[in-house]
Amino acid sequence: MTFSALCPLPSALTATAIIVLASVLSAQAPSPGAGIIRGRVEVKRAAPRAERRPAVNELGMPGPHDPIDITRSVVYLETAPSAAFADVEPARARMDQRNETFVPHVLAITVGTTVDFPNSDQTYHNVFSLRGPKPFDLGRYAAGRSRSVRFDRPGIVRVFCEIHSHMSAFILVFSHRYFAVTGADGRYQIGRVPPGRYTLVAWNEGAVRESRPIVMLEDQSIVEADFSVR
Amino acid sequence: MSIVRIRSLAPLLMVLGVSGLAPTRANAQDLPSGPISLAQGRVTLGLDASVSLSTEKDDPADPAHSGWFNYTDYEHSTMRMARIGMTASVRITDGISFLTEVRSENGDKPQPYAMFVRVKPMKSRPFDIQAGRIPPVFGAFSRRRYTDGNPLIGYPLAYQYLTSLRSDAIPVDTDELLRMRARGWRPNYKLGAQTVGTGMPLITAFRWDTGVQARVGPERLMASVAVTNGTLSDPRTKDTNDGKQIAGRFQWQPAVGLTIGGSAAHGNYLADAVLASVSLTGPVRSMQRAFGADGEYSRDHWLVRGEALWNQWEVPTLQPALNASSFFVEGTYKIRPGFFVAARIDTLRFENVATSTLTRTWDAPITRFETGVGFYILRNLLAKSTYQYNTRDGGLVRQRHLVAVQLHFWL
Repeated sequence: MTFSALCPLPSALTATAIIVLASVLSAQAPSPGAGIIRGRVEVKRAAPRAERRPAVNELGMPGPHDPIDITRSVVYLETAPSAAFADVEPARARMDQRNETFVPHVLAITVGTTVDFPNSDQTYHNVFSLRGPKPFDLGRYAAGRSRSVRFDRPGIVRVFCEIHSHMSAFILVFSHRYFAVTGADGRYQIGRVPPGRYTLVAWNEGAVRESRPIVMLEDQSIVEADFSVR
Repeated sequence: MSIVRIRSLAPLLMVLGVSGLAPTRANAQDLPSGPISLAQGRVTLGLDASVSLSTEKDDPADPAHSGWFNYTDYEHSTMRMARIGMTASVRITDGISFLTEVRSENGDKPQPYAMFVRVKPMKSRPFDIQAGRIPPVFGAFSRRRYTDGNPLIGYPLAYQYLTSLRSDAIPVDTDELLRMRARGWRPNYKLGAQTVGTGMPLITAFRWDTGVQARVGPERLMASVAVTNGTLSDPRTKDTNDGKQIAGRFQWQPAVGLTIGGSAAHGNYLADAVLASVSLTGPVRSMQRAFGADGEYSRDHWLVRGEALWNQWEVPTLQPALNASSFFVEGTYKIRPGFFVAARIDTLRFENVATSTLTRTWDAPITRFETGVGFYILRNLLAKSTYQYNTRDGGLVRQRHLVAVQLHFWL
């Protein structure tokens, strides 16, 4: 699977074509002997700070907002067994708005998942995305309220708040289930991977994308793959 | 356009050029959309650049077709303007910041629009002091961000339209005043400055005043007071008289999405040089007084704002003082992601004055309607197109229809 925002050249349409082609080429049903891909993604580049625009028009100091955690990465299989596409079940996920920050900053979901966007602040938020697989604008809603969006196409969704320009997040929508978001320590684990040859990709905010080929053998239960993102 | 002007616009054109090329090389929303952060967040730089074009152009050589409806006290039309501005915030400590905004309009020499120190003496208390060229306390529109704060291209009349009064020249009597009705673009009077100059808006949104301001209270219930050199209609870096303006504002948010505000201001607006040219007996009358009420309500995809303003200028040679009032309401509705429609209805009224032969409003009342659409090409690249209709009870040009477009990029 390829995302247009990760790899500059292919468009979303090309990405979809690659997904279909890949699914045919590597068609192989998950077997009982499926294994685990695990490892660690080390983010070595300096974290860009999400600052407010200089608030020259305000009568006082703006309130603090939580820093964005950009150390989280998403590791996924670029190609997947065709059966994996039929294996996707609609799910429900949550991206909170708290202290003028989207939590989590990076969310990875499967196609058909509905994401709730609750507002946990005492001020309005207005979640929107202009481009990508699912443009949406949830309008303004108050604390304690929530609105949701169902994502039916794969791709990368940039999420913003219209009122707070320093708020942003990513939602990565996959057609299969072979992906994982790294933990606070950078570790990840993708389970139930059937034997086969794959390209494993690590994605980090700012279009950083590292990939490597991996092989999951019939009698192998664990494949270790570490990444270093600069 | 002169070579100098083209050179001055070069940074703006570069910005717009980059924004047009970038989508071919990366995902459209991956363009830089936030400010530039330096020194581990201590220094933040923002940028905004815009170009506006309209179907109508005013020309001093063609007064029969020039209405000057959209001209500012910088003598630029808001509907035909190239503007580039840079904002900077330098966080010296957690409680002290320096903020500035430098702007250039139509290639003019860059001017500091804002330049002040912000001090928050108590970390846990909502109390701030700002000193320097500070944001205006009065009203709501003048503190809106230029970038995305105005859903249309034109400005509200109270914040832009030039009345026939000046701060450096005054009429000898009401007859002379009435001869200048609807001539805010170029009023001239026998007393005071004999140089060419523009009239004053009720409140200018194009210059900020210099002084000290304090705010207390959180956004939910906030009060602010400022002492400045100039007045609402004529902000000053260097004072031209001995008087200071005192302005105050309170703001209340009874519910999320609803904001109600009230403002008042009081200060000497006439330059000492004008008063020196007049033989006066008794106390000098040279005060500008203003009161304002504003409200904002937003919900879902709606945003509605309105302001009502009352203004009084004392003129030493005229009795009684000259009153004006203004009211506008505007609404914005987002039709689909990145696409909105907006409209504003706006009026500026003047009270009657009497001469030996007639009674009329001291300036020509004007009503403006503007409506338009906006489309976010990117999160921080906005294209707008508006239709504006002005009608005025005076002047050579009494009606004006115009269509304008604007492209706006910011970081």
